[in-house]
Amino acid sequence: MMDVSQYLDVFIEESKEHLETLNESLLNIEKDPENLGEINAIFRAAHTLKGMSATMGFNRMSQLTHAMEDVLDGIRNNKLRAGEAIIDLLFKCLDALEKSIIAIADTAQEGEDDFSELIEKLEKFASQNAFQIESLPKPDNKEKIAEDGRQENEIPEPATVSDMDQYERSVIKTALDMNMNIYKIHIVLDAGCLLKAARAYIIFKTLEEHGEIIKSEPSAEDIENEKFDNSFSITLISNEDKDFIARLLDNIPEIHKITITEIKDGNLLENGTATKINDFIDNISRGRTESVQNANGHLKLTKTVRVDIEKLDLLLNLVSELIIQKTRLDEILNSDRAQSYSETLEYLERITTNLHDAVMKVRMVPVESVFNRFPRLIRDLSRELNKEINLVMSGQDTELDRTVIDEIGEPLIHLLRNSADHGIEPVEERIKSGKDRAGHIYLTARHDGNNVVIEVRDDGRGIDLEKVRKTAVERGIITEEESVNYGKNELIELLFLPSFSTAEKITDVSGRGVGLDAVKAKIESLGGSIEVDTEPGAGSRFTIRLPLTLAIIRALLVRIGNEKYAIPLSSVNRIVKIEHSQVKDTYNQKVFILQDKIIPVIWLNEILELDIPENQTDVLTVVVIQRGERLTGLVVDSYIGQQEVVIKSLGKYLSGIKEIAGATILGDGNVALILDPNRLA
Amino acid sequence: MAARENQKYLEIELGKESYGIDIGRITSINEANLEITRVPKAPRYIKGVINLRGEIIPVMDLSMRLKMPEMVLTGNSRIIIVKADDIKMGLLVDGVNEIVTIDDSLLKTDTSEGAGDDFILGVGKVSDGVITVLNVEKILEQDY
Repeated sequence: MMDVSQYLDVFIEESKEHLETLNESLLNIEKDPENLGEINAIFRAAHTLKGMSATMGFNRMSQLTHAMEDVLDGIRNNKLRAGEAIIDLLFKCLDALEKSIIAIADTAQEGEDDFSELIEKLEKFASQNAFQIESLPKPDNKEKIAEDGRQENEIPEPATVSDMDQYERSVIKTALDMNMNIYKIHIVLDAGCLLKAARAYIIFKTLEEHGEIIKSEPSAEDIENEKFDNSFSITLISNEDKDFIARLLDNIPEIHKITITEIKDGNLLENGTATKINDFIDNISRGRTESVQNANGHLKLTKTVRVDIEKLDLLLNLVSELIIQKTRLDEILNSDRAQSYSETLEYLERITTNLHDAVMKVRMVPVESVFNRFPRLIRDLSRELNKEINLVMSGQDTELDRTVIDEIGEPLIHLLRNSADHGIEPVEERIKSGKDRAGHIYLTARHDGNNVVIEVRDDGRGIDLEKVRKTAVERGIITEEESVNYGKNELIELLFLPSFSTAEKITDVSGRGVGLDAVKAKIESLGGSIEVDTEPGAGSRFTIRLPLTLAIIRALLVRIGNEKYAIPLSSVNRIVKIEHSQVKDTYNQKVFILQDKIIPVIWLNEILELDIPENQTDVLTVVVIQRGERLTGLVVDSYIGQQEVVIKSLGKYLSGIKEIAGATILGDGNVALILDPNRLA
Repeated sequence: MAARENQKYLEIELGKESYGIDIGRITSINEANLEITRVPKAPRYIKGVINLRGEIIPVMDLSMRLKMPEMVLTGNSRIIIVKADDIKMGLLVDGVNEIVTIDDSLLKTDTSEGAGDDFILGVGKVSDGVITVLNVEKILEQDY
C-alpha cells in the first residue's frame, strides 16, 4: 500500500466539506423530498467520500459510505422514498462519519466504532430498492461488464451506442440535443502503476470537474476495488472539446495511453484518434489560457486558497513591525520638523494601512462556516424536545476574524440550545397562548460600525424574572430584602453568574452545569460583550457584540506613575476631569456623579500595585469606560493620546493575570501593557 | 534521573555560585540593558516583560526564583532566553562563563545549598570540578 499520510490533511479538510454538504442537502431533502438537485448533490458527495476513504485505506468509512450510497442511489432513481426513517438513519450515519473523521484528525486512525448496525439497516433499505430494480425492464449492467471484460492494453472497439442500455442512450440523446459533447475515453495505465484504484479515482475526479461520467467499464465500484487490469473506459458528457479533455488527462501521471472517441449521435461515430501523451504537448502551451476560461463551465465555484494560519500570523507580525516603525518616525517628526520626512511618512502610512487591511481581509471568514451546522442542531433538538422549531438565519456572509470564528461556535450552540429548551414552548402551550404551533429562533449576523453583532432571538415564553429572583434567593446569591430592589436588568445579570440555571428539570439539552457564565467568559475573552433582553410571553434576545478584528486596535495611552498603559478605545466612553471633592464614599466603594449617573471610581495605581503616593492634586483625570450599560471611572495621572496598537500576548506564563489583556510595543520600542476593561469595570 | 551523558551546559553565575543550564533549552543570550516593563500582579520573581525583536517575553530574576536575594544589574548581567514546553522565558543572571561538557550522568544530591532542591537536576563532573545543573522545566513551572 502506498504511503498516503501526506494526503491526510487534505483528506480531513475535504471530508469535512463533504460532510457539511451531506448534512445541508439532507436537511433540504427532508423538507422537499422531490428536490432532484439536492439528491444529486448528496449522492455525489457520498460517492466522493467513499472513494476518498477507500483510497486512504479507511475501510470502515468506505464501507459505511458505500452502504449509504446504495440507499441514496435508490432515492435518486425514485426506487426509494426519502421518508423519515431513511433520513434519520442517514443523519445517524453522518454523525458516525463525523466521529471517524475527528478520530482520524486526532490519531490518524479511524477509530473502533462499530458501523455494522448502521450498515445492516442501510442494506435493508437498499435491498427493498434492489428488489424493485429486478422487476424493472432495465438491463443489468453487471452482466455486460462480465462479457466484455477487456484485456490489458487492448485498443478498444470504436465506441458504438449499441453497447449502451436504454437509460444511457436517452441520457446521450438529451445531451446531444443540448449541444454537449459525449466522449468515450479509454485509458490504459502504466504497467508499473502501484495504486491503480487511486489513480483511476484521480482520473474520475478530474473528469467529473468538467462533465458528468455516465458510464464506466468496469463499473466504478469494481474500479474502486481494483477489480480491473490496467485499462478501463469511461463515457463522459462535457461542454469541453476533445483537446481540452485530452490535455486534462495528460497532466495525470502514470497513464500509458489515452484514447478519446467522440460520439456524435445515434449510431454515427467519429473515429477515435489514438494519441500518445507527447502529441499534446504543443497544444498545452498554446491552449492554456483558453482552457482556463473554458474550464469554468456553469459551476459556481469560489476560488479559495488554503493558507497555513501561521504564515498569515507571520505576515501580520511584519505589518505590525511596519506600523511600529511608522509610529517611531512620527515621533522623530514631532521633535525634528523636516518637511521631506512628512511626505515619506504620509506615503508610508498609506502603504501600511492598505497592507494591514489586506492582511486582515485574508483572515476574515464568513460566519456561514459556523452557522452551517445549526440547522441540523435545531432539527435534532426539536426531535429531542418534541417541539416544533424553525431556525431562521440571516447575514451568513458577514465576515469575522478567523480566530473569532474558531471560538464562537460553542457559545452560539449554547444560546441556541437555551432558546430551544427554555425559550420555545411545547406545541400545546403555544397553541393555548395563541401563538403559531412552531416556535421560531432567529439567528442573525450583521455589521455595526467596528463590531459584528450576532443575535439569537426566539419567540418563546421569555425569561421568567420572578423565578430568577426566587432561585437567586433560594441559593443564597442575594437576600430576600435585596431581591426586592432588583430591577429587570439586575435580575438578568444574575443569569450570568456561575451555574445559575432556571430550568425546572435538568434536560439532556441544557442545564448540565455549563451556564451562561461560560458563554459570557468566552465572548469576553474574544474582546466582545453580551446583552440580554426579554419580554415575558414574547421571547428573549441575546445580543453578542464582537470586534471585527482582534490583532490591531485603537487604544488610549495613559500614564500612571512612570508607567504607560493602553486602554482599548472601544471601551472608553469619555475622559473627564473632576474635583477630588466630587468623589463620595458609599458603603463599599467610591463614586462620583456624572450627568445624573452614579459612577464607581477605581484608582488604577491601587489595582496595578503601583507603589506611589496617592494623587494629592485637587483635579483628577478620570477615564470613563463602558461595559454594556455600565460605566466605571478609572483614575489615571494623565493621558498621552490615542494610537493604533498591535496586541501581543504576554505568553502562557503570565496569562493568568486577568487585569491585563496583553501588551503592545510602543514607538520607542518599550512595552506597554493593555488593560482589560471587562475585568476592571 | 535519566542519564545525560556528554551533555553540554552553559555555565552561568548567580552571586558567587555557578550553575549549568542545558544548552538545548537556550534560544539566545542577550545583554540585560533592555527596558523591562513591570507586570502588576505577577509573582515577585518576575521582573516584567521585554520586547525582544518584536516578541514579548517575560523576564525572571533567577536568584529570587531560587529563593536567594534579589539581583542587582551590572554590566555583566545577561538575559538568557530559555524554552520549556510552550513557555518562553528570559532568565536574568549575573553573568555567563563558558559551555561545559558533563562526561558522566548527573548525580542527584541532597545537599544543594541555598537553592530549593526541586530546581536542581543534579551535580555533574566537569574537567575542573563539579557543576550544579538547574531544572529549567521546574523553574518555568507556574506556582502562583
